Amino acid sequence: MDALTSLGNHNELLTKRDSKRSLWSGVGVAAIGLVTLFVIAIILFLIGTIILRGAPSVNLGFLSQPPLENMTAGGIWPQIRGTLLLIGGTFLIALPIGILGGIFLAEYAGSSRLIGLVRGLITSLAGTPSIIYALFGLAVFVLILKLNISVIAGWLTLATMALPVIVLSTEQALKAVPNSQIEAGYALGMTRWQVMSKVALPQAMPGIITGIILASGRAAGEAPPIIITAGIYFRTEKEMGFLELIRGATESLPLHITEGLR
Amino acid sequence: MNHSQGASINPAVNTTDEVIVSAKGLRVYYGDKEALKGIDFSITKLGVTALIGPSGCGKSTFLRTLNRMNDRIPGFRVTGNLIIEGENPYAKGVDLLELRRKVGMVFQKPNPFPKSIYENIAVGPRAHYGIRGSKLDQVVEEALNAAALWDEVKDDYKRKSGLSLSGGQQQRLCIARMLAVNPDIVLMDEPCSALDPISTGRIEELIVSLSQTKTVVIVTHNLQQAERVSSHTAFFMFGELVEAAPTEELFANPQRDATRDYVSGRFG
Ligand SMILES: Nc1ncnc2c1ncn2[C@@H]1O[C@H](COP(=O)(O)OP(=O)(O)O)[C@@H](O)[C@H]1O
Ligand SMILES: [Mg+2]
Repeated sequence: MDALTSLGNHNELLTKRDSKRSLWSGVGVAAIGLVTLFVIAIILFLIGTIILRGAPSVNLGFLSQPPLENMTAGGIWPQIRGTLLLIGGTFLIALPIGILGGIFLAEYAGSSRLIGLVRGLITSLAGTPSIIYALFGLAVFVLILKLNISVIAGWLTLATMALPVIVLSTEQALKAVPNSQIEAGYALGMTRWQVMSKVALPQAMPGIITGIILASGRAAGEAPPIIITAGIYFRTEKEMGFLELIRGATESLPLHITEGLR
Repeated sequence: MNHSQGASINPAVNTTDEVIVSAKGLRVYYGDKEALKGIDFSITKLGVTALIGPSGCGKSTFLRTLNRMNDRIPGFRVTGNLIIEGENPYAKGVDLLELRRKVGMVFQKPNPFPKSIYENIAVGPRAHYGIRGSKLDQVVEEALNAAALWDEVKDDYKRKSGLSLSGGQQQRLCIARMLAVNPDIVLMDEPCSALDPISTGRIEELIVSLSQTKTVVIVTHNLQQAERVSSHTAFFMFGELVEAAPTEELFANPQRDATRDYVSGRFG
């Protein structure tokens, strides 16, 4: 009774403390709001500039024709084609290996020290600058394997670069699948592989796709490995067969833009 | 009908004397921790056996040892004797998939797959029996019927996601999914603890009707539930089996002090 009464007497203090709290929380909300506005403004500015200044130049002809007049006019079709060719082949190589690697790490590898070391190495590979991959590709694929500067050498180099990102995101996405789902699969008498492929993988797909998008941004956009292992400013041949196309170097967007800026 | 008020549904209908699960000196370890300290326990075919006891006493461990669900836990070890339907599930060369087909399991929290109701049920029979097409449709429908879910979902079970069902319906879907692989033994680990009283009542009715043709082993925190649905009850404490008896006997006339204290609600 006494205790309750004395609590009641603290009402004034409580009100004071609450008003202080709500002041701080107001400041916090305002700060978050400001930062958010700032970020949105930057994004709008970027998108706005690109659309306003770029839109007049982009039309079907620009996208479907080769450059003309010493690259100062015409279109960028060969560069687009080259970039798509590079990404396509890269993912044909990197996706199956990367996803299987992620499945292995998540479910089969266990937690030995060797695996810990491997996981650490993959993580650091995922953060390794692209110029290192470029030099690696030059040394191994272009020179030692004698693939020359070619689309094939570019595929292998870019696949090497995309692989760690795909492996890690697959592993993490698989590990994030709730244990209750995994147990449901095993309790139904599914094999380990069935649990992986029918239960875990479908649920991990959004996470894996995020990893693939990150990796493809890296593979398509990083200039050094493309320039060093696959790139050419422009090819003179007009018509080529597929084999010829991939044995030789290719035009690509990063190289085109880099050269264009000179 | 409110089953949480303690009305007995229909216990002890259909039990036999034939032993289907037999444990002798069964010990389970998680690393250094001994979770089951030498269990001697037999479960007879058909009917419902309830496992009761305070949290952490090893009820789930015992249940999950039966279908080897603990195998995936690092440090899990089992010693002693265990025979299920005449075979030691931990013997070399045991077909794990066959064991889990014979011994189905329902978990505490309903865990349907994020797929259609149909697909949830179809995965098991497809994997085990390789059936497809209209035969599979038939199996799915039968499983939904057996789990008393058919009438509620028959209009859109091929399209509707299992996750869009209510909690009680999800748990019945999980039961249907398990029934579709046609197990002989059904393990349930507190299957109603996440459900409201009405859904609980439905599941309890289902348990009793399943026990006509299958051996049901259920872990429950709810003593009234054990009284309502089970024919036999086993009381666990600190990793040991304190007492096992026909349910009425165990509740009316417990032989051990610890059992008496627990069933009279003095601890737990
Ligand atoms: N995965 C685990 N790793 C280590 N110890 C565990 C694990 N699961 C359960 N235990 C321990 O084993 C004992 C029995 O647990 P459990 O079988 O879950 O009890 P119950 O289901 O009766 O509440 C507890 O002391 C618990 O801490
Ligand atoms: Mg438990």
